Amino acid sequence: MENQRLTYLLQQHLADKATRQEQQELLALLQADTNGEEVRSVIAELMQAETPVIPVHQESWQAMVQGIVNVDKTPLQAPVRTSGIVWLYRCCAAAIVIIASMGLYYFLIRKSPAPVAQNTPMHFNEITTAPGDQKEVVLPDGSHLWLHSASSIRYPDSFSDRERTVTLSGEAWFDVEHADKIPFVIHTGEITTQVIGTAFDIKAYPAQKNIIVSVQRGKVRVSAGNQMLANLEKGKQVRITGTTAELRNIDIAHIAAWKSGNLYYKDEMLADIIADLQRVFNVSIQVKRNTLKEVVTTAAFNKDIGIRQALDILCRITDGRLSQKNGIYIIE
Amino acid sequence: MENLFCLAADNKNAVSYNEKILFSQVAEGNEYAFGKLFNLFLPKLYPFILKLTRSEAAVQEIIQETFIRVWLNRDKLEEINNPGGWLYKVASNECYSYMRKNALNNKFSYAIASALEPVQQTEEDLDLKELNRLIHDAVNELPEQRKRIYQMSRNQGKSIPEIASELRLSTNTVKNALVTALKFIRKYLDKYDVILSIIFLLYRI
Repeated sequence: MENQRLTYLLQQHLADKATRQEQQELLALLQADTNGEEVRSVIAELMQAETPVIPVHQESWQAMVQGIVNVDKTPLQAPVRTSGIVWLYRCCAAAIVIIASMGLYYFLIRKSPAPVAQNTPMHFNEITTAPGDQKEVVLPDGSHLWLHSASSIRYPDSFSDRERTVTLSGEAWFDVEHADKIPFVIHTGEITTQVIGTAFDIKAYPAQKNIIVSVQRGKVRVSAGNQMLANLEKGKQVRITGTTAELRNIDIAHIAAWKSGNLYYKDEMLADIIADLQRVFNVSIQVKRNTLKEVVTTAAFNKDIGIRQALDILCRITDGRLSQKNGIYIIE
Repeated sequence: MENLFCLAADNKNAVSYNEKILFSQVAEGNEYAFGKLFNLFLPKLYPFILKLTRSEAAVQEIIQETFIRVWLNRDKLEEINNPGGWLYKVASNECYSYMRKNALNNKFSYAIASALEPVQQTEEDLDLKELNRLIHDAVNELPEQRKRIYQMSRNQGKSIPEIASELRLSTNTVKNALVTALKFIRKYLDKYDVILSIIFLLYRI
């Protein structure tokens, strides 16, 4: 069998020009046992010579890429990704269980004694992200979290059967696996956030004055020590300053928009937005006027526009003036 | 120094130089680099495989299988001289298998563009899930330390130096453990290859 003939036949086929006879010839070549090596190498050659098409809709392939890289991730318990319908069912089931057991659950939690110290030493993992970086983390119970820039999460190798406890500094979006009677607890400084199975975002950077919790699915309880501060459900956000809790409504589509490179700020102080931009773009930004720092504003942009344009937009809506000196952005 | 090299190289060399960096990042398990690699090859693979198979579903299947193979063989990417050429070879193997399977069933499609054929996303999810389950079993059979290193790398997204410093091991030990773990997983999957292809067939018919 000659490569030349094979190349010709495949080219005819690719160009959709093969005659009936050529089609039969190609079919026979493929059916024969002896041509595998040659066919493969001719296909490889023709493939490399292919002219790329522009544009391919890369977005629609991202799910496939994600699926492939997830294929060798192995959470310690059974894999948890479930198909749409089962997932929906589980969500509903989880919601019903949560609602039904809410009263009893809180009662039990509040009355229960402090957890007994573990005899076996626990090993902890700490994952951190650099400014400008993001990481997806799979926890031992199969829960997922997405860690935002300049943040860290600390969690044990395996969770106890009473409580799943993690410690967060910075911002993360959580998708918590439902586990009956094993609450998932996130410590952020003095504030603890407790859930059963939900998706939500916590923003608690050390330099930030408040802590923000936004709920995308399920129910979440936020407390300081023994003092309950807020019970949140889907579409609710709480901003905690000291022990003052301010409740707001939030569009769930905007929760953790940063995961897909969107930056969304609603009624936030310029100082907080700037702090965020410094972490996301890994740049230094100074706001010179204190009154300007406290300006409350709403803004949304995609990370891809770059820091310069993002700051331009912010300056335009807050009447600031942007300059750049020694690699530091200055707003005055 | 690396930057200078990049600037000095002409456009064509710069591309292959970047490609080399990309492949070595993928070899270390960098998911972001893998996404970039995928996007780099997709514009060539997609039109070619579509013309060859005349089926949108086949394109999805072949591209997915190709990149699963690349991902699960990522440790080899650094040793391979021309990883780009190797990737095309893997893709052409998948193309050939697909065409031969159809030819043997006399289902080979010529001018019949199968636009009627629906593309089912769930099928692929099932394949991947089954594969994930097998890998999960394989990982559970790894010795404790290797398993731990593997999971720190894959589940927690930790880099080799991060794992090394946390476990007080040398970076070489960690790297070797990851390579050995991947080899073991591949061997394990090979053992189940028959079962896997049967599963694939069941879901596809």
